[in-house]
Amino acid sequence: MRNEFLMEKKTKPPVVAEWLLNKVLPGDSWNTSAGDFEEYFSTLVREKNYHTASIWYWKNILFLAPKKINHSILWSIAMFSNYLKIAFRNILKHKGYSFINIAGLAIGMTCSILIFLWIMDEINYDKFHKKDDVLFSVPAWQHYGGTALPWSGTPPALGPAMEAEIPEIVNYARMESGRGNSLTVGYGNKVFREQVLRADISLLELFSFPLKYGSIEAGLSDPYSVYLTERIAEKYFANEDAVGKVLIIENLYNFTVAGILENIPENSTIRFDILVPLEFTEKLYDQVDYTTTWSNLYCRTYVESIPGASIDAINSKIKDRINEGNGGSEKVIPFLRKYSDIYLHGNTGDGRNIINVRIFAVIAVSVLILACINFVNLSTAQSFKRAREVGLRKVVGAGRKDLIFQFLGEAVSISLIALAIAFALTFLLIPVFNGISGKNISPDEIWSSSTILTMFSIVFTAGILAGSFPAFYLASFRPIKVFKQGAGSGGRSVNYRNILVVLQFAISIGLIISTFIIRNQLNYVDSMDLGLNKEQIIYIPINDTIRNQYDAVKQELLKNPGIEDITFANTLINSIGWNWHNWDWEGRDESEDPLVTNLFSDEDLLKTFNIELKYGKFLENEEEHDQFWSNNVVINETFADIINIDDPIGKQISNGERSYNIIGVVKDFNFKSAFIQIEPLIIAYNPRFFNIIFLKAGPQEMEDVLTDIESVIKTFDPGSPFEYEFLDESYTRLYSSQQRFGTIFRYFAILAIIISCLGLFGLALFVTEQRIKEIGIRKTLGAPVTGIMLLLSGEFIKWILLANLLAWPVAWYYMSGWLSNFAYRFNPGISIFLTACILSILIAFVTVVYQVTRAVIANPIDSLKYE
Amino acid sequence: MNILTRTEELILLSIWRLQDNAYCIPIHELIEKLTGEKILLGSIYMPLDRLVKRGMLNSFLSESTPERGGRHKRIYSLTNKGKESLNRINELNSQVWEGIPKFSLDEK
Repeated sequence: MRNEFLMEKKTKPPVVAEWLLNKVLPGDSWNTSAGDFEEYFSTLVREKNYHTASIWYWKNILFLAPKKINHSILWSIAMFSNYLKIAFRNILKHKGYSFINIAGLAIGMTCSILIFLWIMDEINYDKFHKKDDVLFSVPAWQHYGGTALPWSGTPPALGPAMEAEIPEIVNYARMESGRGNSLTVGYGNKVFREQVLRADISLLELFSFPLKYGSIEAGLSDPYSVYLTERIAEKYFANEDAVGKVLIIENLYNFTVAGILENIPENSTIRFDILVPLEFTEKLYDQVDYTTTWSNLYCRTYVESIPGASIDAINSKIKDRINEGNGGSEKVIPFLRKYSDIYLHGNTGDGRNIINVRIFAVIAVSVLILACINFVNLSTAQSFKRAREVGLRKVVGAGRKDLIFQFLGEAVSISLIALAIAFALTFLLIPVFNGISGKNISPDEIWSSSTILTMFSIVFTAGILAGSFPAFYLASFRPIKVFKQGAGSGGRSVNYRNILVVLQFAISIGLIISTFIIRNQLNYVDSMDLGLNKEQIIYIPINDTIRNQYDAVKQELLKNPGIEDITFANTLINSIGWNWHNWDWEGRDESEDPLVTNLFSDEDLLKTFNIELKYGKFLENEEEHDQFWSNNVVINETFADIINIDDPIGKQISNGERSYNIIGVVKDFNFKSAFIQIEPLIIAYNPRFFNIIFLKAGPQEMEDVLTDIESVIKTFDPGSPFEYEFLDESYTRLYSSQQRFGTIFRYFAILAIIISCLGLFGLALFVTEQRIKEIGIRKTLGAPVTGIMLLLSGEFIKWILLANLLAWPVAWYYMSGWLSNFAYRFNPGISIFLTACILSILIAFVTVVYQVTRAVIANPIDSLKYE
Repeated sequence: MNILTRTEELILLSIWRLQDNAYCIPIHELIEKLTGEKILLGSIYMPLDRLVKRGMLNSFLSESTPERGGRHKRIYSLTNKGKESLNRINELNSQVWEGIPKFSLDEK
């Protein structure tokens, strides 16, 4: 039995060969001919051997194949050139349609290419490091006041401990967290203020910032070595060989150039031009334990793990280690986070960038769909003109398949033309796009293989998407009907085209409404009453030196008549983020445990910001009381409402064992942003937390005031460089991502409108052409020009109104979702919707008016002479 | 002019000779034997199909054998039209060859 089976197996030709033979064998009775071949094959196997039989089989295929291939290629080339010829003739014959078709597609594609480049740039952010797979950042959960916040900073001692004690960690690098102050850097007579990054030199081992000259070893061994990027080396050393030269930092410290790095790529989170070892900070700020402490979160820590290490295992080891380091407080719990994920997804997966990527992708796809709708619309509108061609092709033997191939091919070749234009447009528009999106994409990116690949797949998808309806629609024409009744253009297809145009306009109107709402909301936020004055206020970050003598600094600064008021506080007034639970007061409901934000300031807070005092009085001549709050505190209205006592002045509130007197209530002012409702606030005096000076300047020249401030600060703290910012600018920054969102929406709304108008224009062209005889008859019977105008444009206006009805609820739904991000928002009235409606009708009217007028003023003789 | 080509003539004659066994393998075998030349098995399908289309051959499916992988044989037989064509070509041949002796080759 088994032998027989083997025999049978052995006499069968190879399956692959059999399949191939089927492809190349002429004639159409495959089943019997395969039988013949198999019979012959088995005879050969019997008489000679399997090997010879196989050779014979393959030889047959080999000799038959060229004939077959020649045959089919010859015919397809002939047909293809015919398709191509007809396609180009059609493009040239209907220049208007072709222009609209190609322009619409090209705009849509340009838009998608730009967005694609943007998305690629976002996705590849921080991904260029060779060790990307094993590079981790170590952020930490901070548990304070009952809430946990992810924080980028970790104790400086963590990195070395991890490398030494956790076997999965191979290397680490620490980087000073936050923005470093600028320092003076000098070489000879070239002295400039520069941002100097202080970090472990092992940073260069972990991350791929390639060295051009010099070595990493030099920097690891010498604490007074400095690394420069090419850009900065050029600035200081021009054409000299920089390695080995000495730079003087802060006029005091001599640093030897240990290496020159290539410029940091644009898509890197870690950016620097000058890098010095982290230990330098100890000397700079005279902090001996800066790099060894467990009790502060000065550094960002980056680590390299062994490949395939378990993150959870490492995390639990870190947790144990840090508890040992800081005495088991459990307040800071570091964890590993893949370094290249942070840019898009944030420390905990709540990143905003990934949301932007998604929004952009959706917009790109919608614009492309709009463009494809145009294409489908125009091609079907035109299809009746080609009904005879299709009929004739069918009569001479074209099958459905050939016709579908022809029309799909035509669509794809039109998309290819559009693609060429789109590439050119993209090239021109990249600088503009960079401006809008805040990116720095180089035009060369267009030629990267991924872009080209994606573009071609878009072309074919768009071509097939746009071409498939006309292809199947045209291919289904019945020749006999076409020739008998002339061009068939049933009412069904007209309706279908109207629906597409309505859809296009609905999308455009939706975008217009969204743009309006975003702009109005941003204006509202900008002009909303914050409960405090943010104009003419300068703020200066300070350090210990100033903090320790803040009163003297204040008196000195006030000598300048240009400065009206000064107040010291612990944080920026629009982003106070420090808060506590566990407050208690008389008559508190057990369930109430509000999270109360803390502001520490001196007695001039209200004066400086024009904040209104509601009851009682503000802090005056307070003494330091305990490690947090002063004896007397002031609360805001919201907190007073929660406490809910008739007269809160003089009452006590307590936190833990200490209690504090409420001496005043201030009117609510917004101390975060419009995104969040005003929360309960407690204002207390504690100079140990002072971090910022707020100065309210008078209406004088700002320049002079600033110079004066700088000189005062310098006399008290000559070591630190002077930095300042304006408060209103920091408010604008709060909403910068929303601003960008608005700008992007505006541009895409414009694009969508352009594409939709192209579509409407094409449709107007088609409809008026179809009704030209009707118009002629109407005119000869005495209809007035205005009447016909109204009749024709009324139809288009009707569609636009319908589009409005469709767009309104959808736009309302989505935009109220967006608005709900804001605790303080304007109320979008019906006027926005009406404006969008009127605008869309105007745009539509302008689009169709040329076609309509041309049709109406045409001499009826021309249109009716053949009847 | 509706004259058979030499290949067609050969195929038709082989089919007539083979009678009930006239399917591709023996046809191919016979032609190779008669001409003494190697011919690709695949290359006789085209003329066979053409002859069927021109109505000179009938074909029907016969029994299948295991060595054919269970596939049927296609047996061909001459139609009257086929026979007429053969007669015609035979006449034509004898007419044009009449009185012509066997060619002798020139010696060099």
